[in-house]
Amino acid sequence: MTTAVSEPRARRAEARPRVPAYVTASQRRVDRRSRRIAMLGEGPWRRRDRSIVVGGCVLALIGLGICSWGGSGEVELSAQIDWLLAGIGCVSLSSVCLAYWLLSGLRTVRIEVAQVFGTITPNRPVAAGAVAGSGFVTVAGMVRYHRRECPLVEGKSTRAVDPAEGLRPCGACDSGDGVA
Amino acid sequence: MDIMTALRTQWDRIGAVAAILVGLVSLFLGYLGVSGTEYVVKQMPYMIANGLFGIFMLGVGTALWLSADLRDEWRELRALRIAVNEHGLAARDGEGVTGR
Repeated sequence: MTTAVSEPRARRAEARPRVPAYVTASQRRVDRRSRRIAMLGEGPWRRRDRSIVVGGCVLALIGLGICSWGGSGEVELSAQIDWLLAGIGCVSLSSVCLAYWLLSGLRTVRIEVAQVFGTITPNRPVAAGAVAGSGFVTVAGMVRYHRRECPLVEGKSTRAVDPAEGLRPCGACDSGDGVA
Repeated sequence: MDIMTALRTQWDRIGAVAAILVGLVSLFLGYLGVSGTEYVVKQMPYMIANGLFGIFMLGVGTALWLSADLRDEWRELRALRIAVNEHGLAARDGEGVTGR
């Protein structure tokens, strides 16, 4: 009986060998580094987006430096204007890359919104008035029309509408495509 | 919140403010340089170096700030979706258990 209890204990002690201090310090360093990478890498962007924006901005910065150096070495106005135009081109390049970065993030956020709305299923029945008509509904006082399953009209007393009535489409349920 | 925690959690907003400040300072220095001379040939290097660099830094700062907002929104949405998924699974499991 005693041996049956002491044997697993010994096995556990074998399975957990003493780790030298320098190994744990190294593990801590690795953990810290991976946390830092996770902090920088977290977000609605892919690796390709990051490469594009960082590459574009670095290229633009290098180009600006070259243009500044080249422009300050010229004494003719026409040559300086050429350098100025090149510099404007560099700023435009960085602007395009930054706009791509923001649009890409916005797209991912929209996909996430759609997934959240797809996950949340309405547990209340839709009002009877919503069944008839074009498939779109609205609520008194609203200036937009929605799909029947849109969470913004869930549980409210709705009435069926036609998109041609002059209401604007809802941005949350994406009712602007005209397909109910 | 101490400085290190703020740096770790709000690094993009702090970077945005720093970039915008650098851009504004660069534009101001360019303005000082341009206003100090009346020859266009001497003004042009300030426009290229300080003016364009200032605009570039303002753009970077703005993009960093907006991307911080996007990141926050994405993080909240993801947490919400995960919570809803877990809650839904838990509810389904509960129904399964009580249904037996």
